[in-house]
Amino acid sequence: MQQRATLIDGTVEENLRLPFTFRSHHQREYSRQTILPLLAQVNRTESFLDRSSRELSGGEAQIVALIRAVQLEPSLLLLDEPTAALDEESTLMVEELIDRWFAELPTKRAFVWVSHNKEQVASVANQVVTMNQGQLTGEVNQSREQLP
Amino acid sequence: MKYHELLLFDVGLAAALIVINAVISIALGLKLGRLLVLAAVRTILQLLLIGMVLESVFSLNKWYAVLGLLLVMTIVAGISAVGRTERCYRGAYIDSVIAVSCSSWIVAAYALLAIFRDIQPWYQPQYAIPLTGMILGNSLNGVSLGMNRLSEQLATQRDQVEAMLTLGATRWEAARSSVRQAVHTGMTPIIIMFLIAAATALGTVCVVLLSCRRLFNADHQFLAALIEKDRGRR
Repeated sequence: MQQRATLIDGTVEENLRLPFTFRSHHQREYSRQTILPLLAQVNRTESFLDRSSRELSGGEAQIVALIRAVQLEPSLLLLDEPTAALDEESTLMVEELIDRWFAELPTKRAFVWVSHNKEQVASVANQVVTMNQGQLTGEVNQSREQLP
Repeated sequence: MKYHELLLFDVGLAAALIVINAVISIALGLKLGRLLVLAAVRTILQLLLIGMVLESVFSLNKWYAVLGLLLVMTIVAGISAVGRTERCYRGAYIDSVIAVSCSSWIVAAYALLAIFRDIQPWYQPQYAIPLTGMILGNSLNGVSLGMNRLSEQLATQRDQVEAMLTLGATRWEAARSSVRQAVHTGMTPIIIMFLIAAATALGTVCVVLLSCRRLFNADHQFLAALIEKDRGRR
């Protein structure tokens, strides 16, 4: 996941179908039934699938990009400041979406989240690694249950 | 066919055209005189050198000499194609030489072995060298435009390509739309050339038709005479 979502021209659904056109996923099929609960988590209905990607706000585009990645059921998500360009509401939605995805299979899933936001780091991470100018400067393990 | 041999005097007359450029440069104060002289001298030296090489290839008249020269021409064309692109990447020269070779040699072989099949042996330098040279020129243009477009597309659409790669696309799948556009751009000059050729042919036909129409419409005498003649036959 990049800082700014990169969507192709077309509807939201066409964007969600995109990974299934790749050879690496040819044995799998796109399913609306998988997508609808994910959309419900971010307060979006089925009609959202027909919206053009050009009409989406930055937050909505980021949500679509995240759902597009999550529907593939990856074991690891790499998130490069996914909420850096989002408003507070969209940030919360993205955080919640990732949190629920992780909570489904916490022993088999993981994510690496790059962030400059210390509050966000404190709320989403188990293990925090700090970097300064490309050098590791610290590592803290924290239990998610202990976090505020 | 009779060949016209150019004398040194004729070549001198052609070279004298550079003087016109020099005069314009002096008149407008462009300060291009030195550059013009250098370019002219360089061109003369290059042409003399190429002339010597061509003379030896022509006199040798052996397939390996012709193929060797064509190989050198192909490599130079491949390198030149990269030289015209704005962005370069590792392996660009090899890619370019392969692209120019594949496109040119297949067409040249088809032309020499199928279209000019009456010419024996097929490697006659007076046919093989200029024909392949012309094809190489077109390939060079197409390949350089295509490479330029491809590198530009990949640079401007880097985020999209990276996003596709992270979603499991292969390198080919991620770059396919850029490649498609690059091929389209590379083919554009040759398509325009076809269109110009078609337009020229169409123009010639139109001129002929208009002339005929004027002829027939002058006082209908020509047409009337034809009709009369036809009736007489029946």
